[in-house]
Amino acid sequence: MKIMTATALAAAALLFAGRAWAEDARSAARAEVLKALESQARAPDLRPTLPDQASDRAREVQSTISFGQKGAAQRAANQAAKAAKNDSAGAAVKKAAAAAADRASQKSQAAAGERRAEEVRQGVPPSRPNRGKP
Amino acid sequence: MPRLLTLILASTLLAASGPAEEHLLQGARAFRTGRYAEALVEFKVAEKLGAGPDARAYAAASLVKLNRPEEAVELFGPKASADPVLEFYRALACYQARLFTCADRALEAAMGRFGPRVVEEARTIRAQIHQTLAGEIQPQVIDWYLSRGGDAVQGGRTGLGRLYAEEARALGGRRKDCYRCAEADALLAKAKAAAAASEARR
Repeated sequence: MKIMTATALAAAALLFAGRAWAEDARSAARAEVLKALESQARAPDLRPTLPDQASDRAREVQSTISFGQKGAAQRAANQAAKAAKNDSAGAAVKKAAAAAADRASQKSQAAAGERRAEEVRQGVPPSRPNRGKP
Repeated sequence: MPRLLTLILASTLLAASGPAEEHLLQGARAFRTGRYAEALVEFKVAEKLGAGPDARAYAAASLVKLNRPEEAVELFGPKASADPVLEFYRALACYQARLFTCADRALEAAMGRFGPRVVEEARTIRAQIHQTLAGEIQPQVIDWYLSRGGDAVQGGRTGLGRLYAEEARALGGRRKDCYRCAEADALLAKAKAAAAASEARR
């Protein structure tokens, strides 16, 4: 009987302690997440503007052109250039890949410039240039 | 009896560091290093494993970083978060979704609770909002919010529709003619009724 009581008490104590440990672990994890969130808390690079239906549609189309299709081309070319740099491919391959990346980058920057010019024409503050970011 | 004790001990140890916490920690690591898509997945898994509503807010913060503000706004829900950092992200979601008054209200309410670095960021955003809303609000701006809100309510995104309706109402109210204020109120009522109906169906 005594053994039974002792075992039951021990089990209850373990369960109680387990709950407390679990709660501690959860609190620690939450604190860790909040620290991570705080470390990345900053105002966005692109400043949103008041919308209006007509210019919004135009901007959407421009954005798709400059950052969608050409942006994808630029990313692909940059990846190819990086891959060529990493492996033991010949100098010609590396040069071609770098040139492709350069061309795509220039096209994308030109399109982004056009978009910003259009934004200025429409009287909205231009979005920031995409300096060197893919 | 010793078997029972062993079983209890094992389950206790397992519960002490559960899988939900593991996913929260993985998400935190990913978020800190800018791998937001990965963080989003980890937080969503943690929520499914019982990490609670906080994990949902962490996932919403990841959506903000992934530039998916409308989804983030919906995931945060209409209520203010108890934690100031989460409230900052909720405000950021509103701001990026062009819900300027929603963002400003959230930041204003949490201003005294932010840390020194976040408070500077919050000040910057509030200054930008005030600058954006400084001039007279044009009718087509309010048209945009009403149209967006109407589409959202129609598409079953009642929380988002409600926020757009509130924004249209707040911006319309800044004009002398209170442009389309009655329609904004009607949309707001419609969004609330749709939300209540969907809640009742659950």
